[in-house]
Amino acid sequence: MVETPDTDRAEKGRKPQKGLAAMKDVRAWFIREVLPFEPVLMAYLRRNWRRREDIPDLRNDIYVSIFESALKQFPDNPRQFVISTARNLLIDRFRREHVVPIEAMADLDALESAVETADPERTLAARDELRRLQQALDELPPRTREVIVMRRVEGLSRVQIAARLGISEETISAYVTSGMRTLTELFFGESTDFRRKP
Amino acid sequence: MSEFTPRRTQTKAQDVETSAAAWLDKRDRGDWTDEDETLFQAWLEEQPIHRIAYWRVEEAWDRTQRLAALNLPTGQRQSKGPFFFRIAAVLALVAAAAAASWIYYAHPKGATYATSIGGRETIMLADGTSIELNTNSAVHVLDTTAERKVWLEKGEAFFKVTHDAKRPLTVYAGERRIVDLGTQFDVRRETAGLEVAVVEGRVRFEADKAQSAQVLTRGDVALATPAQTIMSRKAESELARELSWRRGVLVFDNTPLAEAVRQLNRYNQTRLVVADSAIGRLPITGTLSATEPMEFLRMVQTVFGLHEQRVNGAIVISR
Repeated sequence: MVETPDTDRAEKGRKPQKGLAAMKDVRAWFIREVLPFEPVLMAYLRRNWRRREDIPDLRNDIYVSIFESALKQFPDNPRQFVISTARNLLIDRFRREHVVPIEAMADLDALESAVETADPERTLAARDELRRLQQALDELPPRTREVIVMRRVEGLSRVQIAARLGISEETISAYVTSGMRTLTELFFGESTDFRRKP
Repeated sequence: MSEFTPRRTQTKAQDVETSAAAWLDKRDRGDWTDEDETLFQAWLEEQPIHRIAYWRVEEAWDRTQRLAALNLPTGQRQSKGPFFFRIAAVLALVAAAAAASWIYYAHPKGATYATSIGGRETIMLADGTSIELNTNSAVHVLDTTAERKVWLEKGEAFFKVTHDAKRPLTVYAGERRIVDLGTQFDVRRETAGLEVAVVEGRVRFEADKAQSAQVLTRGDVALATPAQTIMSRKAESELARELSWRRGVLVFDNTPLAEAVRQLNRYNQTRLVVADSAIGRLPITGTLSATEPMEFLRMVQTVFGLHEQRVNGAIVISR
């Protein structure tokens, strides 16, 4: 059940084509090569960046930097690329903060080896993925979880859910929006930052 | 290949992710119009992070469907294990300015132990008491069936004492005495004074003969200068930071560069000097091997863009 389509491998080192097709390739590349490192990256950021509220923004800056490079050309070694992008951005940030985070600098090496040894296919191996999805779902508030499970797992329509739970479709929208936002953070980043939020 | 250039300020992650989830929700509603599509595409184009955030939430959404293959157990969130806080030890730091004239003839027997700059050593007594010597330190130890006496001749030592009320371990530092009452503590002699810090248990601190003894307990720190003795209390974390030398590291927490350099110099032959007070005020946070000044220099250069220059055997840190 591990997905390693051969066609994806062919993307390496070549330029994405222009237009929507290209964006589809970049999306596939990003999800396959970059997102699996998010837990490692987030764990690193949580250890070393004091202001926790900055962390999602730091992650996003790293992602945008990677994304913009990938638009020009897919890097040959995505892992190395993720590391060096994160490293450069973090050094830049530390510099701006006027703090010498010696620990964080040393920890960058740890990040490097964690990313080096993390196997994207293994990280997102099917069973592990399902377990993590389930854990993430379990973190959601009960009603929110119920709505998402009904829609995605049981495959009910929004009209059916509204009738069954006696709530409006607007309310369902609110649950889906907040639920998916939290679920995404938990699933990809295992971020604890969102557990406090409703 | 991935040179980072500071970018324009982008929308805060929190807002981006909420918008992305809202778009996902809207697309799932089944009333998607051409106008929605136009607005959605415009939003995606607006900032790269919009697109990435949308990919993430969409990917999570797609994957939730895979759970349909399983029987969903009514997920009970596992409680996180309780936090285990380290048991505090006693940190006693005593610094003595006065020349300790009487010490030298007061310990005729016993053994002397010393470390060089950058060195560390642990002395174990027969009863299990340990004395950890920090850099450039010396103690003389008299350990008999009748008494346990340690003279801290210079530097710093951490004592983990196996308590024995009949022969309490007594540390002499200059004019001062520290008597163990069942404890772990640190004693440091410096030019400025003597510091005693208690990590666990209690010690009796006799700052001078004229003054009555004070009992220090966990978290108490006494700084005895020639003029006075200043008592303070330190948080466990702060004591742990001061005692990080026992692990061979220095821990800085918004420590001014000048102070960090002063501490590093205690452990190294290589002298570091800060060129001016503005540089000396730059705050440093982190953990560093006490005996690797070059590593420290490398970090300072990388982060602050400072330069080093060798002058008369010292290394001057400047702009």
